This record gives sequence, structure tokens and C-alpha cells, in this order.
Amino acid sequence: MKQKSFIDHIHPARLPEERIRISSSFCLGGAAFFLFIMLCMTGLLLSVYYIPTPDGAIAGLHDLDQVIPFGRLIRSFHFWAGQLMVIAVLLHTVRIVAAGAYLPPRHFNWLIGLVLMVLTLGLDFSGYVLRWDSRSFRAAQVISQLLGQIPLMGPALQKILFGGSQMAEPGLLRFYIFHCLGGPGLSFILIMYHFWRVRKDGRFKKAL
Amino acid sequence: MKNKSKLSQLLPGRRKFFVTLGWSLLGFAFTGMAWIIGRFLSYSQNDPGLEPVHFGPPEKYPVDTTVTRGKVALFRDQAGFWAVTTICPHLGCKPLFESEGRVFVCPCHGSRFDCEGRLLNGPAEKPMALAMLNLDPHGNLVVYPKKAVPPGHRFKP
Repeated sequence: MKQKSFIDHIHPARLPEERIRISSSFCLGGAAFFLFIMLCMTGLLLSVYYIPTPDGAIAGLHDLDQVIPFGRLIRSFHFWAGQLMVIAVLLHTVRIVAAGAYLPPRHFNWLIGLVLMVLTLGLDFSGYVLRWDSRSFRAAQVISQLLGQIPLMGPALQKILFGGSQMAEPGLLRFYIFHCLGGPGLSFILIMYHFWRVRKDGRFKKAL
Repeated sequence: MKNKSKLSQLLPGRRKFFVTLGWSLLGFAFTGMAWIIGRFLSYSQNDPGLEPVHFGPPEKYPVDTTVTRGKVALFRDQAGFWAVTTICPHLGCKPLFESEGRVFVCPCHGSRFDCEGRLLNGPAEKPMALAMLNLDPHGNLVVYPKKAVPPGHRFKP
């Protein structure tokens, strides 16, 4: 059974029964990963009709909602999977803190997890900006102004993330690239490392 | 021992049933997903698939008839036939004919057109095109939605 051996190797050959009980993890990390995969697939479909320019964004969303068959369905899946993934990731973090699972020997994986949490929040926000309606535009403006207030590195950060001191078309393109390539790509690499690290640090051997 | 052998005979059958059921449900789910994705990706504004539409012998349609078939609506008055290509010039939806008011109403954004395709209200900015009509060698009426004719056009067979 070749296809079975891959599944078998995610878990060790033997593990105590209480370690795989639902209540010891609530499957929150798994839920977040499932939603991540779903977001990648629906996002890939949405990118067919979304063009990262001010006019293209509005026309693309309009077509998706009104004209393209199942466009609204796929967009809704993407939206709700995104909201649920943020909730799943935050609850996962809370559970890790509550169980003290950030302590050695898992302290390094905890840091990886924190980076993944920040990436998730960044993906959620950048996706919101891509809607390019008046509210998400204002939200992006507020964030760019907040960044500008950081002493010393503020204006430099503004230029790096927004392509200028104001939110405008170059900023939209940067958010698009982060949302479609940078964010998901980095997340995927870190998720794979996160999973491998769970096994290596002995998630299944010792009490959480 | 007898009991055990009975169980082992029974269980594989039940397991096989659930495995088959599971795979068929998965198959249905994936077919549905593939269909949705196919429909989603096949959207195109440039190519509405405008093949000629066949209406049969013109005698079938007395004066004041209205027939819609595919992306074409066929009309006849005292002066002759005309056909409207029912593609909204706004975003390519299919306006539906309402026989009470004799108007086309687009279901997407509510653009309205009269029965000769002339624009009544937006968001569309252009009228709907009239399509060329002709008789095929058997004397049947054929509408060619790819070939537009000027407003007010009438076809007399």
C-alpha cells in the first residue's frame, strides 16, 4: 500500500491514546491548514478575473458578483474561509498558551507559529485592501499613516510596503503581490517546517 | 469459532458497501466541483457563441408573434420579421422579454429595451443589435446573430 505509507509517516508508529484525543488539540491547527488549502484553491480561481488596478479591481469584483457563473459562490468561499482561518489560528495560539506548549522543547516551533499568525493576519488585511472599495481604501490609508508614525524607520517602511507615503495604485500592486505570492508562499514553507517540527520536538511523546 | 467465521464473512461485505458508497459520494462531489469550476472559468464576454438560429417555415409565425430561442428573439408585424440579439450591451447578460409592456429587461442591472432593441434606460449605453434574417434553401427562416442590420429593419419572406 504505497499511498498509505505517506499518511503513516505523519504520525509515529506508536503513540499514547490520550495524545490523539480531540480535546488535546481540538484540531485547530489542522482546521487552519485545511482552510489555508481551500483559500489557495479559491484564490487561484479568483485571480483569473481580478486585475490589480483601481479600475480592474472594481470591475473584477463586479463581474464576479453579478455576471460570472458561480463567481459570487467562489468569492464567498474565499471570504468565509479567510475569516474562519483567522479565528482558527487565533484559537490555536490561545490553546498553545493555555497548555503551556510554548515551553521548551517546543519554544522554537512556538516562534514559527507566531510568524505564521502574523502572516495570517497580514494576508487577511491585504485581501481586504484588494477589494478597493472606499472602506478598505480608508483602512489601508489609516495603516499607512500609522506606519509613518513609527520613529526613524516609519517613512522607510511606508515606502517599502505602500510604494510611497500615500495609499495609491503602486500600493495596491504591492498588496496584491503579497496576498497572492509572497504571503501564501512563505506561509506554505513555514507550515511545512512547523509540521515537521511538531514531530521532531516530540509533540506526541510528552504531556502538553 | 462458528460465530467468528460468520462475522468475518459479514463484515467484508458491509465494509465493501461503505467503501463503494464513500468513493461514489466523493466522485459526485468532485464532479460537481469540476463542473462549477468549469462554468466559472468558461465565462467570456468576447465570444457569446453566436451560431445561426433556425426557426422553421415563416408561415408558422403569424403577425404579432414573439418567439425567443437561444440568444435571439423573433418578432413579426404587418411590415415583416425582425430579430433582436438578446445580449445586453452593458455586460453581456441576457435581457428577458416581458410581453405585457413589450420590453426587454436585463436581469443583471435592470437595463430596459423596447421590442426593437432600442435603449429605454441604462446602465447600458447602447441599444441591442438587430440580427440579419434570411431563408435557407428549404424556405426555412434563419437568424444570423453575428450579422447586425440597421434599426427599423424588416424582413419580408
